[in-house]
Amino acid sequence: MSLILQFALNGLIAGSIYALVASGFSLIYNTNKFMHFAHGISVVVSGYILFSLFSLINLNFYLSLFSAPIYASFIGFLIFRVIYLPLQKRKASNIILLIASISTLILFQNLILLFFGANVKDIGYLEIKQGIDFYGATITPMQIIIILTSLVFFIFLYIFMNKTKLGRNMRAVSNNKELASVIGINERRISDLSFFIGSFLGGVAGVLIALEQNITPNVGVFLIIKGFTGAVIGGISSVPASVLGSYILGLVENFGIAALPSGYKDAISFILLFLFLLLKPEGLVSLRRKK
Amino acid sequence: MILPYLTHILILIGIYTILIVSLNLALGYSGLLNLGHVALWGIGAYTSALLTIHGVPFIFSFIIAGIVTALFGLLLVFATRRLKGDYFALASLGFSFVVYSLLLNLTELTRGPLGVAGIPKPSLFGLIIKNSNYYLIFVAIISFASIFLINKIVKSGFGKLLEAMRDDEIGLRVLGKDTTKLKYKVMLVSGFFTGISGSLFAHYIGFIDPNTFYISELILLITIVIIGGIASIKGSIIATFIILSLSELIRFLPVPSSIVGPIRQITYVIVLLLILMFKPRGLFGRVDLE
Amino acid sequence: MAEKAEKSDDEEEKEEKPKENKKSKKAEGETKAQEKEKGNSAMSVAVIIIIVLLAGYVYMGVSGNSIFPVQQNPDKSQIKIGFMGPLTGDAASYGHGIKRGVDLAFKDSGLENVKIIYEDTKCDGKEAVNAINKLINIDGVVAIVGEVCSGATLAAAPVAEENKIVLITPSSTSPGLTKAGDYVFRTIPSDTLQGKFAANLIYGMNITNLSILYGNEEYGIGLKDSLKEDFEILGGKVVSAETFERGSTDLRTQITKIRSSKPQAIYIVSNSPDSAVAALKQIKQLGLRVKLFGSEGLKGPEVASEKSAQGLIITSVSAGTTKFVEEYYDEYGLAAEPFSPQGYDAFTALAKTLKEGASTGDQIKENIYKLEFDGASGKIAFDNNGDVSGNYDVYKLGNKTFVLQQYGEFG
Repeated sequence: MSLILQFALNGLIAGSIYALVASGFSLIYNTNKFMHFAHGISVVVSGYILFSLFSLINLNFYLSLFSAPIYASFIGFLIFRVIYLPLQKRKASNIILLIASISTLILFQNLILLFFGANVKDIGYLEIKQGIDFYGATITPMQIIIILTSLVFFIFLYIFMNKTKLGRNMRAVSNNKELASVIGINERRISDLSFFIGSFLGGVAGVLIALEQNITPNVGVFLIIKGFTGAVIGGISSVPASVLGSYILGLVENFGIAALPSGYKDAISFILLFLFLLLKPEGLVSLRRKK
Repeated sequence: MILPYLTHILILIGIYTILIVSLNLALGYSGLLNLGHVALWGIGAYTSALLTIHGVPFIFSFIIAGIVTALFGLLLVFATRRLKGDYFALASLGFSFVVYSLLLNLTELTRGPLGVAGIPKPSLFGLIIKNSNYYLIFVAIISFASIFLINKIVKSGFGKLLEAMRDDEIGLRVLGKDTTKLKYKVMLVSGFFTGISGSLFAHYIGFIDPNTFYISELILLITIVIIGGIASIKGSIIATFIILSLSELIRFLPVPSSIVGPIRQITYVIVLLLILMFKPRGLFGRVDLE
Repeated sequence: MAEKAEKSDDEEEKEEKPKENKKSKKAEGETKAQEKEKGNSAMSVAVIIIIVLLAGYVYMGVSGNSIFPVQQNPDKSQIKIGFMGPLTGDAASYGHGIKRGVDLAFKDSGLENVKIIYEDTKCDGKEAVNAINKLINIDGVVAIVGEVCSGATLAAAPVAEENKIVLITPSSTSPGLTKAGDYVFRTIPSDTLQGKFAANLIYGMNITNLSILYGNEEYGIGLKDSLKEDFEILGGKVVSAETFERGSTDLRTQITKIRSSKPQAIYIVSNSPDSAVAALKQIKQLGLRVKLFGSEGLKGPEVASEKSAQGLIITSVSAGTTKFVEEYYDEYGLAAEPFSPQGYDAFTALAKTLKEGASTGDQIKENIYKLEFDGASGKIAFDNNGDVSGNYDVYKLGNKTFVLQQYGEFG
């Protein structure tokens, strides 16, 4: 019993991180209608900024912690302006945007590799202690923080998207771009905003995983694949569905390796991704957009 | 000192040319960006390597690698037949990931992360092609023949049909042609040549592991094929020469060898981004990426 | 609203299509001739390029060196020896320690006209294959010290065999290397011996239920198999064996499974300090209170400074004779590092053959088999597989340093 509970907890923890990445990705996709694979950059940049500020320069921990995702959101915004926007002006197809996106991701990954080296970096803020016992399963305080933080952000996101004017404008652009601009919504600003918010969420995921485990140059590629998979499973055209799909992914991965050798964990998510794209690309929660 | 190195580069160029031209064949004539190509190459390499290690004569491993890869290519295109544009690209990317993780985990078959070491050099009619120089001649013959064949296909009536399908698939269907079958045929041909390229690669390097056929390699392939231009055999050949030569030249930069890898990747993606930004058709491309 | 918008999109598309058809038809007619020309010229370009290159190549071959060289050693006055190891990457601390041992041996050998060429192979099979090809074909080395990690050595071994160049590794312990070839040697005992030693040690501490956590690579698999076999022969039980990818730092899944198998002790096999540190941390976090053992892959500075690793017991190969440790400290100001004595011995073995006048791969190989000397890590003598017998020590980690507990001959 406690084994099942442990796997469930592990799944929730992983799912939380995936969901943060997926929500940002989905937000950007819905607003701009193309796949921002370079979203992984917000995760890895955020982690390394936390490392640089706190572990290298010894800046105050909380200052580093909060500024890292903010930097990440700026980088996301920059990528939009410097790479996507010029391409869009030249009427680039979605495929070209996708290739440009993947290229940018690889570019940043390798720049970080060059600059910081390939080794794993430890933030070194948390003390390693035995976790808290929870009905036979163990969970550390940091892991609890991960689950709670992501829930908090999702609640914020939900409130923003549904209760604020800006959020509603954003959804309007997602639903129907032409109509939204007819009403007077500034498309460009909404796109900018989507990149800021989305990348911020990715940045939060980056600091959380840096604190809980460590940071390597590959974490961006790794998490965007997981986040994307979660979004596809849930339904990429809806942010809440993407979040749900990511939690499902986390749970399936962790229960999956109960039966299979542990090395198959990533294989499970790849296979799920492939199968969903083939059989149910709209995801589990397919929403019908009514007028 | 220069001589063996030049031989080495030429052999790689020969192997990659077959690979890129076959990628372009599928891409240029079906209009679909197949990011699963690197996985197919890996399948060809592993098939040939594992067969030969278990005693199958090279000539059979070689051909079987081509056939197996063609079938997997067919499987991929069949499975994704309803997907278009970026969804297809992502599904094919997913395919690459799945193949990668299977290569990594099916250790009984593939030896997992240990890779396959000691892949024997090809032995044809009793003659072992041990020496790099002989290998270069061997690869040159095969690439020349492959390009010749692919070119013939492209120029033939079948090729014309493919171009028509790319330019106006619905129109072609209206005329009664089964475009899906055409796509399958293209994939079979493309897959076969990809497979034999993989075989040549495995037997040249002598060691393959799952990481050989993963993201970094994929970026290289995409860069070359896009720079060369879609649906242009000439473009693919020339781009292969340019990029591979550039890649090897980077090795001679006065930097520690651990940096060479990232510098290469950065070079590829920057070139790729510039091309996408300013000349998305590539050097000789005749078609835009849909 | 959305549906209406979609419909008008469709209509737009249908309108555009006939326009496109007209365009492409026109373009087709015009460029058909051009296309044919392009196609032909593409072929001719390809043919010309290939012929020119082959011609140039043959010309250089005929006029320059002999056309089909077997082994290139243009600079006859200088003998070159290769070194392959991880100088960057997660196993770099081992690579540098061994390099220092090799360099010290070079200094002590007093050899002149010998040059060592270093290649950074990052503990990776593919890098090792590229490096060994370069060392043999371009640099013309007569022998190579390397690689450090078993998987990489195993990958490079066939190349050494084929080219008849001696490859001597100071730290690759996988049993798989025993049969790797006539030209493959090592100055460190095979893990079949360490498995036996560790099994005896653990069983002797009244532990009957053991878990093994090992890296999914040649080194990890080799030692795991050996340890499991020997532990079970003694009467113990390996209740679980979990593996992780090299360099992986999230081992909670594996440790969770280990926890549910209720072992009394865990033996960790890893040559990646990052993974080892993560394993130790997560074992503590998941509340496993068991005795911890590790192979010498864990005897590094990263593990030593890890708080959750205190109490860890390591089985390790010899850390060097007193004489060696002193000399090492004199030279580098450092305590002898893991595998540096073995690196010292590997190069010394080669140096001895060179001094005896061996200059080709075959001569070096023949001579090595006959060698017998007292090295920095103990007595060195190669059996007919190129293996040596073993000395193992036991260390316990206390207060950030590894303290020697006992040592003994084995094998």
